[in-house]
Amino acid sequence: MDNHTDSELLVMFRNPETKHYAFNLLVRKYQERLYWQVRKIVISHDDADDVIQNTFLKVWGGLENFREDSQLFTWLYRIATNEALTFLKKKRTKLLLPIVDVEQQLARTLEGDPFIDGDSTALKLQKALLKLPEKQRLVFNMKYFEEMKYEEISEILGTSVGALKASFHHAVKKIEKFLEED
Amino acid sequence: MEEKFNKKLPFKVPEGYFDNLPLRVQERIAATETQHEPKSRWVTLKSQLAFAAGFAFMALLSYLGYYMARPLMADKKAVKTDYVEIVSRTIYEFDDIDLYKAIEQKKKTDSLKEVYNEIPHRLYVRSSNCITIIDEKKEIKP
Repeated sequence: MDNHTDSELLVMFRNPETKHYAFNLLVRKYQERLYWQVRKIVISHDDADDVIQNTFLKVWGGLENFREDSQLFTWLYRIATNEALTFLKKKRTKLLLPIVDVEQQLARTLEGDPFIDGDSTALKLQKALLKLPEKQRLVFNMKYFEEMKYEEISEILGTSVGALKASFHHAVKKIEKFLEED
Repeated sequence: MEEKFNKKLPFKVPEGYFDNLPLRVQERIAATETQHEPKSRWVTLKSQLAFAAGFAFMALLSYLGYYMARPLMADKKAVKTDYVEIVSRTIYEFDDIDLYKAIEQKKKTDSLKEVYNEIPHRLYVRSSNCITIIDEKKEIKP
């Protein structure tokens, strides 16, 4: 079922008779990768669930106009990342919280969310990640966990490769420092 | 760092989450599409008719308002014209002799008033002059 290429899915999506079926296949194909990207940003499962559903709603609305200038996955990834960042921004505005407090709240979620695995080393790394500036955290997640190329990350985040390399380097240094101090 | 930490994330999802997600997404899409469903012809026509009726009602109101206020405006205009006419007529009917008499009468009254006002002043001036004369005489005497 997931063997369809992106081009095939897009052709099926543009046909009104197979539109819903094609979209269902698309969701099945990309849901996990997009979910984990979002989850790493918002931490809580419930929030990630909201964000991922909104992401697919946006994809549904915009896929008709997708011009295939970029890869479909890059486009989806960009939407998901933007949705997750917007979600955090809204949370900040809604609760009138400064950035630091939101990160603290996310750190508390790491301890209290029922869908957090108890692996202490992985938890430690996530806690250290939450102390990074948002952009550095994003870059680190994409490079370290997703093993994405800088060129791909650059296309998703709209940042130059040089700046991304610098961000990743700073992120690694800071995390090492946090972990040494801990 | 990779030696120290494996790349496993400390997150998990409820059981069967990814099996159900496509269905839930489809349900959300269906719900959104129902909200934004294109309006039927009758609904469109109905809203257009309502708009037209509203417009006609407003036009009727302004028409009625204009015709009800017109007599009042006409009265105001007539009064203005009459006033101008009355003034001009009065001016033409006014006699020069009457005007002359009125001016003379006014002059008389004014001059009398002036005289009455002047009396104490003149008396004072006169008395002071007398004093002066007496003084002058005194000066001459020695």
